[in-house]
Amino acid sequence: MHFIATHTVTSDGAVGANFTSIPQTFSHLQLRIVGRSTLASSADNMYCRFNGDSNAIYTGNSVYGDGSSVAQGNYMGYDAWEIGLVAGGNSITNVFSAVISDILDYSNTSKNKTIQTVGGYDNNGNGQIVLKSGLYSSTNAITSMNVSYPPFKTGTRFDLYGITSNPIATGA
Amino acid sequence: MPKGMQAIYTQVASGSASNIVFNNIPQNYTDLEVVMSTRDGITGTGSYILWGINSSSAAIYSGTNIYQSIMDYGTSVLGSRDSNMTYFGFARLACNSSSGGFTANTFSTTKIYFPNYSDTNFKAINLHVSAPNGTTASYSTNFLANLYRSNAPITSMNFSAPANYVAGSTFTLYGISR
Repeated sequence: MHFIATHTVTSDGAVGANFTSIPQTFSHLQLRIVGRSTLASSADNMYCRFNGDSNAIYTGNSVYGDGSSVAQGNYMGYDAWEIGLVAGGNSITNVFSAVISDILDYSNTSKNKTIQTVGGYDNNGNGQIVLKSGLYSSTNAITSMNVSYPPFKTGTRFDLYGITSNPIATGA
Repeated sequence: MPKGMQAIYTQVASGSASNIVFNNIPQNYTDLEVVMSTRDGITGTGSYILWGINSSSAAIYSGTNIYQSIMDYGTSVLGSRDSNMTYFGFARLACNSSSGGFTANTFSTTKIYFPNYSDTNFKAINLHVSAPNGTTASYSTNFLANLYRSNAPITSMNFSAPANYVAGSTFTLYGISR
């Protein structure tokens, strides 16, 4: 796992990360978010556009729970990728979400882009955990990512990593 | 320090220890990740690793959980939550295969992500456990969001099983830098 870029929110209510000129030399991308929104809510979904693309070609499915029940959901025809949940402004002070998303074959121009995310937050036994799959129905290589919602709390951090699949031996 | 992910410590169980400890965790990484391959020597159908941070037994551990466990709960996906605990206790191990337990030579896989482990805020933790079984319908998968309500940097952690870890169980602590 190789570091590519990072963005840290330095003022309450700021928008998220804008990663541009993403190197095309890795096999996969991994986005790690440690975040909290400034909205007066328990949690908020985060959204990201690839390549500035606002066409309604983002879809996904999710399984989520709050510790007392588990449910599922899906979305279709969105104009942005629904990353996952971030702790809201009503969470306990200093509580942030931990979210990890894998974006597979992001530079492959023969594949639509699939994503998996696991993340959540806990408020002393009152939080949420989410497992999501996502689809960006485009074969374009992903060269930029823009996380534009929700408004984020100071200290929210977005780290982008590249993952290689170069073997150290053939295994043959 | 190279940017990215690198192993800090690795411990391999010899079969004579039920508690694995990482001490003196370096404070110069951004995040930590623990990857474990574990099997407990206890006879039964599954058990839990109880794990803690900085040797603290204060009631500052909590978690929100989604899990699926065919052996214990049918085919449903369920949730659970814990508050004001004195340890984390959801990391399910694969156990000894006798008495209808887990298949021989099958180990659980656990990944735990600790962002901002060295700062002075509460510690959000993301955990995924998979305890598969090769032959019978007894396994579980857990996804958890945990919270350690302490502002102290994480300098140590321990993973305690009800019986000795089976030889070959591995515990690796990675540092992530950026």
